[in-house]
Amino acid sequence: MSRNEAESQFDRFLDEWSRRDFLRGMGGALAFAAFAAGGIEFLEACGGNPAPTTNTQNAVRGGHVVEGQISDISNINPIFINDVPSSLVGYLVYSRLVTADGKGNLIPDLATSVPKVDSDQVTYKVTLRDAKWSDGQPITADDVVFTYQLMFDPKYKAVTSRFRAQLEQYLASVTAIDQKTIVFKTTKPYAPFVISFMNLGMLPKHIWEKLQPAEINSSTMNQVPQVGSGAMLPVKWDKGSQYQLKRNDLFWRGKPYLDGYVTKVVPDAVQVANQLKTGEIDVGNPDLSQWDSLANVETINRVSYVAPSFDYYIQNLDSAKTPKAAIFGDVQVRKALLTALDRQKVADKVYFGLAAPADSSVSGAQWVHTTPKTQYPYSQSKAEQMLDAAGWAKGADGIRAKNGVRMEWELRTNVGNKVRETLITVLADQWKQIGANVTTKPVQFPQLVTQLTQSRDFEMILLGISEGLDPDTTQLWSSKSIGGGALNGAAYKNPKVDDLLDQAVQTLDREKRKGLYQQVQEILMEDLPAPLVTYPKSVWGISKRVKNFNVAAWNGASPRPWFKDVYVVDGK
Amino acid sequence: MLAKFVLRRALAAIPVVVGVTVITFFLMHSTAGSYVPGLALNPNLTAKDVALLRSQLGLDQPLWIQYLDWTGVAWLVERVGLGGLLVGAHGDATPGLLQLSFGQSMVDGTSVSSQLFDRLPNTILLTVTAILVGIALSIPLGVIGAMRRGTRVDHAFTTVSVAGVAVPQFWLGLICILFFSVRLHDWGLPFLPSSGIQTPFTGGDLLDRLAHLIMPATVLSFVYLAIWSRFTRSSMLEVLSQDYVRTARAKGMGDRRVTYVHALRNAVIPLVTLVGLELPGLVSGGLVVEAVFGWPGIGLLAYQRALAYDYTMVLGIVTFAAVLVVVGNLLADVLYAVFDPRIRLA
Repeated sequence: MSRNEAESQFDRFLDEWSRRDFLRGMGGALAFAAFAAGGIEFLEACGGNPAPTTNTQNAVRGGHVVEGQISDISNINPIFINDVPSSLVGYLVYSRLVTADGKGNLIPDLATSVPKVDSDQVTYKVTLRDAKWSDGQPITADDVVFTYQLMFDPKYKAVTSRFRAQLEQYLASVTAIDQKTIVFKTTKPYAPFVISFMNLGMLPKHIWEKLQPAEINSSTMNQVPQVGSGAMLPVKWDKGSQYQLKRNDLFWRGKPYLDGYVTKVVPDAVQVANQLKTGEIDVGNPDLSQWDSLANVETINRVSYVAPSFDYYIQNLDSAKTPKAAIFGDVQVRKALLTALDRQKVADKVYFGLAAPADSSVSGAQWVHTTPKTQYPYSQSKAEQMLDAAGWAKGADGIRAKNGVRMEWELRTNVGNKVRETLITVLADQWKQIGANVTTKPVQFPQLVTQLTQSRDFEMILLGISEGLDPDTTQLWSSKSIGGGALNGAAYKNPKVDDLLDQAVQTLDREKRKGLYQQVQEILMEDLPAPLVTYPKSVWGISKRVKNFNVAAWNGASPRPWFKDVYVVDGK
Repeated sequence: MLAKFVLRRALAAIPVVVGVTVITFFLMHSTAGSYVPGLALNPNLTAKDVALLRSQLGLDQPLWIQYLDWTGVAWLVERVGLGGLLVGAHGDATPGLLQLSFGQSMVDGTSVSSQLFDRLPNTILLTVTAILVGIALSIPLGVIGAMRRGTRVDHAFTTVSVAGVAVPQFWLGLICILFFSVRLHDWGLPFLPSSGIQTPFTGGDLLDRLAHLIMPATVLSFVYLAIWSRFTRSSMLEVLSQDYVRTARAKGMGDRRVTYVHALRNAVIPLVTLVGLELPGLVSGGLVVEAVFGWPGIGLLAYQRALAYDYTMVLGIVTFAAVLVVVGNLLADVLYAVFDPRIRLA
């Protein structure tokens, strides 16, 4: 799943699965243009681009847009979607109950308003607007109930829905009251519910009920459905080559300006840049290394913003797993290590300037983001002082040691991600300068994840995280999330953080919830179990003939609620 | 005679194909990572979700049961009422391979054969074009090189051949794209499309498809050209020094006739084997070129799906390729006999 996929909870993936979409994402970050944090000057988050606005005054009807994607779609059925190109096409074909705007705020889609929880804290009433399927049938409460049944009703156990166990855990019932009204009941108060479980495409019951449950998994309608409810409808899928869509005249937001739209499979991000130059594609995410060369291309607008994601290094604090925990277990060492990193320089050099130094434990694209009081501006001398004070004295060889433990460890990241492979070398080098002997080792991604989430037999790992729309970070920082597939590989345990995270998931008041997460950010910035290094940016090249293509922090590949207003000035 | 030969070879091929599938199956399952990334390793799925999905896909079965399931042997065993032999099997096996079905992709649920056969024409178009171009150019180059051995022309051809073998295809491909697409476009000249098989919306006609074919086919044929022209040259040199060539010359036969009728015919015989061996390359040979030019072929599919742990898809492709290798070798043997009457098929 992708970093800009809106199914928030399901979406908090290790960044690698969307590595191909490394350059994608979206920045509600547009809001914070430039600010100083603990002496670190932030790059202007939106890269000098004005906030996108929709203007259809001179809009032209007709024409096509071709978007380059590095991989092909695999399954665009909302209950199976698991990758960026599929969620892009899936979003264009199916409307949802709610969706998100560029800043990550929920906005109504098929629902007339964003559902609010009743006073019992577990009931949500959803009213549908008047909308039609592309075959002219009305979209009703039955369709909605049917879609949820496919995902979690025991009757449809044969359907390999990715949401089954989670829905069983959180959703008690979903009932149609009348043609336009659905009532959801959750098993307990659960703040991420609307974001996680209503932000999914709805399926037409009258089409899918004809299939046996087992047939649904391998139906060709998972790739090319005949009936949809979004801005665009499928025309054909040339496997490995392109996916073609046409305008949906019955779209409830109104008739889209474009006649057609294609996602074209392009071999890699450098080629995306080339094809933007030649005009073979109109929209795409070029490789970071090509960013500067695109500046000189007259036909292309460049758009960049801080994406809801971050790159961070995890220090293993568990002495049962590694003797190096003696190093990382000392919070003064953790603070010194972060202080020794020139993160601005890292952002400028390793990311070609297309990243911002991190200042918290969530990205600026998150509505709960705050800049904690404690910051660690770069200072090599201060870092050395901190280590000296903590009793880590330099030996004859220049390597620090304390109580017979030498300050040396292995830093790993995944093979094949060039930015990260460079990054670990740079980090190791900066730490060497303060007397730590750090070796680096790229590891295959599946092994790395197993080491982080299961065996935990590592010393330090550098990885990226794609954030979900919901700000819950239990997976990363709760002591419940150590091992067993969860992401707290550092084995960080802080009862206060556990408690705040538990409270926050059950707090349905938005402002209160935000306050809880801001407390978590303050504590994490003191404890630094796994400090964030950078917030990478998403970069886009968009042909100047394409208007209203308003990609933003949470409106990258999907959702794109503005899609119907996209037009091409030449009408071609 | 010929029929008997073909039959025998076909029978002998069965263990080869089975062996290939067994090795591939167990190799894939022994790699790091247990299943589709984003599923088994997906931190957002609860352990229960993962267990459920694995069971639905039959991945919780012992490996050998999974293999028998895939081949259809499990189904056969159950059909004859010996299902109890398969300890741990789930009892709803499908005929699988026995029914010539490769099953469904684990990643996207599409049928493996639909993916295979949708992409096969693309791959064949690319590789056949490249092979034909390779043959058409390498034979004359080889012959000329042999005839003018040691001259500047010969040295020039040798240089080209060495370059063809030495230069990696991905590099050559990228350079071609930079020059023939990006630079030509910069200079305002007509340029070649840099990837894919057709232009979205407006393309798809013969000319458009041809334009997309030029670069990948040229790059792919370059290696063939390099190897085959060297081969033709040395083979030609050998034949030219044979007694019967000298005899033909001594009889006063024209130089042209000696070279092109008597010598060349004998010289290309080893080339037939080489070209025959390239037939499985119809499926896999274009992998690098397919990847560079985004050519939606089978090689690229196999590569991508191997990275995605799509067991069924990779097994389907490998089995298919194994059959092609066997058929390719068989064809080469038959052709060999046709070209060289001294060889008897037995």
